[in-house]
Amino acid sequence: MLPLNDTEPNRYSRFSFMTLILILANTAILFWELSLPDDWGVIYTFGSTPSLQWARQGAGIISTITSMFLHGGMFHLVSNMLFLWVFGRRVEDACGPIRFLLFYLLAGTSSDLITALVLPGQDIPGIGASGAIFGVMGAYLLLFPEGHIRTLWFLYLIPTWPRIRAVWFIFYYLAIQIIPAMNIYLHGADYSIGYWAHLGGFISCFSIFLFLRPEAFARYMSNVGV
Amino acid sequence: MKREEALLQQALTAARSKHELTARDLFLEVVEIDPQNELAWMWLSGLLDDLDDCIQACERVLEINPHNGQIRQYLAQLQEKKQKQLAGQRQAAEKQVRSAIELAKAGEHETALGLVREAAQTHDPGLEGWRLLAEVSPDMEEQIHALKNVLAVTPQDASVRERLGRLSHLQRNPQELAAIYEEQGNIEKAIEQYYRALMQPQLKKQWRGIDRKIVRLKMRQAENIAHVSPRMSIARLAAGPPLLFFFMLLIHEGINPLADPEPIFWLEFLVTVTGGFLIAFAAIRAHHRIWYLLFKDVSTSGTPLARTMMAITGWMLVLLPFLHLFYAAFQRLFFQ
Repeated sequence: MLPLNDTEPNRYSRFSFMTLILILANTAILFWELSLPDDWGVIYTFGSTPSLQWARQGAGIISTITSMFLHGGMFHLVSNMLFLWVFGRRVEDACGPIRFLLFYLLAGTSSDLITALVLPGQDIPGIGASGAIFGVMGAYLLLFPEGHIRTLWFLYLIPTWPRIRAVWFIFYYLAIQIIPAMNIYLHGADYSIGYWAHLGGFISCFSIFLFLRPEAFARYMSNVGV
Repeated sequence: MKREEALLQQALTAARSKHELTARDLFLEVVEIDPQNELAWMWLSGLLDDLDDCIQACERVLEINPHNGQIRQYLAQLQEKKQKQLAGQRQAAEKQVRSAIELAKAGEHETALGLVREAAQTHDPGLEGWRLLAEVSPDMEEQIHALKNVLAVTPQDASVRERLGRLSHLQRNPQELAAIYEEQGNIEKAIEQYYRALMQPQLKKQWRGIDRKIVRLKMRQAENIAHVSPRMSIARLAAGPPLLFFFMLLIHEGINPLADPEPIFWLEFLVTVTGGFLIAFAAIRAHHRIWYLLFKDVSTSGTPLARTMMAITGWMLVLLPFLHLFYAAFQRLFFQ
């Protein structure tokens, strides 16, 4: 199941250009990565490694930011950017581009911080925008609980694109993070996906209220659609 | 001359037969024809209703005949009576103002306003009265009138001068006034002022801008959207950049800031708090004296230039600590 589009229009701005800039930046960086003869060096230097952060070694907060823009391949990038476009567009509309960028960076940093706190000994670098995007998804859930999105499903290999409540979609993706995350924490299981980074990003969604436009915040407080 | 004499005779007859109203009207007709008629003015000084008019009639008689001792004596009596009347009015007004001040202190602004308005109508309510009127009146014209009277008594009072300047400025600029009302959550008055702004001559683009604001406010009114105070908005928006810096600082400090803290960065955290506050303050059109103190902006809501300058300062204060943090991370990566 993949998200395709948010079916509701923007309220405050015509176009969410910061979301587009983030997508373009992530894409450009992936192409740059692919052009390198050995991208592992880049990933180890600019990916986020909790054990190095605890030891105050490596690129520190530079890697916190750069890891948000690095991806492991085309599928990783496309799926992340699809989520960012679907859920980021209206969240950006409610914040304004600059505040949305700050929130996005905060969610990414929070995801990095939670990963470092829960898995201090992890020495494999984490990369990808998914931590920040989970923060954006959480913000979407808080701001637009009645929102609907167009999704892509494959029923016996037949593609279908129903419009469903975004809340179910987000809860589904959140739910599938929790069991592996607990498995990592309790049994030290090894996964190639940063489940704790996703949860860490999601937790930061509550900070969205520090970035909302005054009018959007007033609408939220009045229980009318943001 | 014949008509004037006839009218005078009729007036005298009417006065002697106690038909005072008829006599007064006839004497008034006489002085209209002949303004130098001493006898008519003399009679009028006793027949007119208003004390001031009687005094004026006496003065007229003395202008025509300065040797009229009887009228001079009568004028002195009238003036004494006038003084007593004024003293009584003054006392009553002072009493009303005192009561109004007490009521205002007790929070009963509506009643206080009624009393001080009444006092101002009959007599000069004095410095305290005008101050109170300027304080409690919701009407801008009345506030300006009251402040002008305060300033007439205390021309050196800078705060009154500043407030008067601000109100006069807002009176001339309904768009700014509308923004203030909007900030206070008084949407109805904001719409009223935007309509006032529409009446002023301006470019089509500006006209459309105001029209859009009216539509937006009307929609807000229809949807019954709650008012969020500017203080709340500033506090909320100011917290974002410092929180991001705090998270980054934790990562920079090896997640455990107590192990070996770098005080300079914690000081810089306070700088981001200040910067975040300035950015938020510039973004929200909050009215504050600081705009006047720093930029001499009489509207106290910050001109676009003043707000831009404050926002740039805020961004610099926010960005410099971040840049320092990145520089430290860069040094750690390449030189450690």
